[in-house]
Amino acid sequence: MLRALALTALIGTAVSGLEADAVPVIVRMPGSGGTAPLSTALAGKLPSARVVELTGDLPADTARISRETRGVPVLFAIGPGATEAAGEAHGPAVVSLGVANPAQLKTPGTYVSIYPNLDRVFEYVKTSLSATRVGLVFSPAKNREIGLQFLKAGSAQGVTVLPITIGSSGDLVRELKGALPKVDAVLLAVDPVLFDERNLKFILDESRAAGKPTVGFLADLASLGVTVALVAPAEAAATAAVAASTQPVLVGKKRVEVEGMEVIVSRKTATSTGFDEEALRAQTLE
Amino acid sequence: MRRRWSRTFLAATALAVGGLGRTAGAQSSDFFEQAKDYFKSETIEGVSKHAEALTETPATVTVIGREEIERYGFRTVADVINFASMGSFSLGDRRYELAGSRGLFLFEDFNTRILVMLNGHSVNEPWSNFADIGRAMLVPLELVERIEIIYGPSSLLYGGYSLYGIVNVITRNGGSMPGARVHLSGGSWGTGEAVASWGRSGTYGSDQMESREWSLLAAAGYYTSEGEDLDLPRVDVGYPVDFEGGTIWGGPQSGTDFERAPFVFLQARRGDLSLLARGGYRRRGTPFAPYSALYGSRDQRIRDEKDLVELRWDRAVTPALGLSARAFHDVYRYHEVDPYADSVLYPGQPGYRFDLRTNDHDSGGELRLTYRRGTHFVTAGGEYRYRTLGQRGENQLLDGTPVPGATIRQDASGRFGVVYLQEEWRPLDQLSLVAGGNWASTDPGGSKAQPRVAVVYKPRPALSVKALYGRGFRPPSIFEATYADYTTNIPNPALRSEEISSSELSVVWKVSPRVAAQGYAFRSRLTGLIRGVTLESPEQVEGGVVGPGGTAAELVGQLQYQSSGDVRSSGAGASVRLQSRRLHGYVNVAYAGASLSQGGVTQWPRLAGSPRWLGSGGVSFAARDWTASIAARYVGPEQLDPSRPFGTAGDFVEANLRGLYRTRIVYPVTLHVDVLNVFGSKGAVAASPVYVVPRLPIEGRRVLFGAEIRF
Repeated sequence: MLRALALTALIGTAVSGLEADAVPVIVRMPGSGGTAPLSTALAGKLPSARVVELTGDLPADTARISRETRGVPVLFAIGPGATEAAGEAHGPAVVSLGVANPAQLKTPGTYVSIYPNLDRVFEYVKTSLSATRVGLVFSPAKNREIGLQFLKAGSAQGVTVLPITIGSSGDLVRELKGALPKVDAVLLAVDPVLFDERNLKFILDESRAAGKPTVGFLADLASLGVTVALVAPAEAAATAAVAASTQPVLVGKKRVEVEGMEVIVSRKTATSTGFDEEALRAQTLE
Repeated sequence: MRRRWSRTFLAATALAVGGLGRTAGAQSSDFFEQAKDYFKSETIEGVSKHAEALTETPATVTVIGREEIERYGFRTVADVINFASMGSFSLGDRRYELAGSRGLFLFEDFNTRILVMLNGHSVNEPWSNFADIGRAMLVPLELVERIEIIYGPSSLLYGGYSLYGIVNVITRNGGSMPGARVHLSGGSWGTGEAVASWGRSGTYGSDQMESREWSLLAAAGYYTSEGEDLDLPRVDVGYPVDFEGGTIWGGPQSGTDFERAPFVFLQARRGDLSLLARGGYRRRGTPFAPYSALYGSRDQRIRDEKDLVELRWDRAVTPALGLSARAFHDVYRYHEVDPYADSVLYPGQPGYRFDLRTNDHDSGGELRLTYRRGTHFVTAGGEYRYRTLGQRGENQLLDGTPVPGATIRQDASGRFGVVYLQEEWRPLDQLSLVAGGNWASTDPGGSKAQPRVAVVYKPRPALSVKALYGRGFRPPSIFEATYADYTTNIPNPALRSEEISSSELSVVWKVSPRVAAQGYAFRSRLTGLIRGVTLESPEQVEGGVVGPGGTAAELVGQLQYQSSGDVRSSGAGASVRLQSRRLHGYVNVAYAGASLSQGGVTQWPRLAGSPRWLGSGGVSFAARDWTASIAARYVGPEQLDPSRPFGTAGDFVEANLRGLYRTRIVYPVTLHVDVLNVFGSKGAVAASPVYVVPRLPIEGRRVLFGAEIRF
């Protein structure tokens, strides 16, 4: 009898867990990492949205998304972990934010770019940095597709993009030193190579020694010594995501550009490479 | 006074934990820790053959990652087990590191009851189920991404063999170890090691929104050591231990503790296909001179060669259905030489050598399906292995000439098949239910079914309480079932598998992003323990075996492996880990008691060689380009083998120190210095009955210098 009661209670609880309202759902990983501002901005745009914090365990997260998104047409996923879990759940259409390279994920859906509109980036590089030849530092294993997008966008704006492909720390030493004399500025893709403290220091030291400005695409980079950080504002990314949710993508992947670009300048590095804040159109100084 | 001290200690602990918590909060926005926010993290298949978190997996697990391996300078899997696990240990007899866990350990079982895997590929060989956790079968830890130590029988999806647990070594790949690297180290006792690797990874395909990955990691290396000079206690053994006829075993010896181990390794992946290959051998001296051999001879040695290749295919057939298939071929060759001073057996000769060689082949495949639907995750599949082995044992004169009539030649084969099914159901955020079973058929051994049931309750996302029940088995090895010379050993065709059942309560608590705690309490019972039994009467002979003369009576006095005894064990363990950007530390404590009974009568109230108490801990501090670490272990008292006079071994502390400096000399360079057994502990472990002395000393202090260059 007790067993039957326990089973009934369990099934009842389970079924109740499956019943969810059709309000927007945002899934994200816990913590206050780099993608946290996106989550905050999106929650601000969708005040009725239910925010589901995942655990990082793919099977558990997939099961949770399945339960939480019953009847929900569109799911917003912040970061690659949440996007992957959303894809595995095979539930509603996914709108993903905060993924550096969507090609690395299998989840079909709409991907809001982590970069500002690349046309605006190259327009800035050309006018504010007076650069017509730029080097793009990235690792092909993680960012080959992003590298191609930069090449295409640069070409459209009349800027030659020289790929500085980094497969290892040794590559960085060899490739960067050879490339620096040939370029006017160095662009740093959102790439694992940047998240190695020693690699980033090496890039910045070498670029500074060569008198070449560096351009990154994450806000914290300016405080670490990158000359200019061109950042897709979280508010603009959230707006783009909400707009994209009206045309959900269930098959294949669609890339959505973010309008607006925040310019964060490292005063110290800019000065050392001969640029002033005004010329760099700094909105924020570090 | 004591109370005051306790309060002070508690306050200090609270401050330390709180401080770390605050540090965590302050540093969680650290730019260099944000890579995982933007990129898909690498995942591996663990105990359930798919990626899952420690809080979810239906087992108690310790995971030692790349960072900890580098911080503490662990050199072999045995080091990791001894210095970082929560209840596992190994006894080194300078031939092998013999692992035990949770109170379970039996002399001369050669890791036969622990499943050792390289990227999910079992390396236990078929002759005696042996798996090495040193340098004979795996790869240097420079090539390892992480090591999973899984406690208790968790081999539902692998078939069997994991009575004590599973050790799964996950290697790095071309993506996580890019470029060319050379690691050189050397130091005391003529030790030298070189490991060179080259890794590359990338994507292919024309679709800019869908990349397909490839990676390649190739490595090769060589380890050499002359080993420690030893001065063992002198014992009059009553048989000649040198060619002069001396019977005093012990005294100074040099050059006998040598070790040589070359290897090559390849891991390649392109899209759904991946290839794993490893080749290499280890040659080792045996300074403790087992089996009544000569003392202090470099001629007594063993050689283990392990070559393996595995081809694997992983495909998402539909969004919900995944298919994995793999095919593999393993080769294991063993060569043992034991020299004897005996002028009586072969008149006119000062002695002879016993020379034993085996050549094993293990071929098979596995097919596995995974199906994910809503809150359900089903894994189903099967594995089949066909095994052949050839064994050649002979006595040779000292010039290498085989002695006629003193040769054993034996060929045997075996089979292993298993089908399995596991369902993971997550009806609630707080609850996961895992249930599954397998059915295995082995030759020798017969068939067995094993269930697994686990309830994982998570009252909070960071707190997980697991109730686990599982059973495991180990089929008899081909050696145990078939080895026969009818002089010392006879076969046992009726030998059955031994079986273990285990109940466990396990708790995982991630107190903060920087502090994690884990604990468990378990009870297990191993039945049908396979042991060598010296026959005292013809009635004791099993399997209808008769001697060359056609009778069982002539087999009295010989050894036959039989199912003989039950082992009960119970215990508990706990672990705490702390990590901030600069500071890292861990503490493990475990207690386990095991007793052996036969026919309901307790035979050994304590298993010999198995310490009840185990402790380990480490502290590491990193500042700018420097890292300094110390790791230590405590091994509690170990009961000596019952054939020995009363006494214990163990009860010692051993500590290793590491200093590490990262710099750039054109290319990135990491320099390190390691002082192993830094305090020169004179600890000793209990010796198997094949040794003259009851206690075997652990290695003394050793200093190693090394450098890794990334080109």
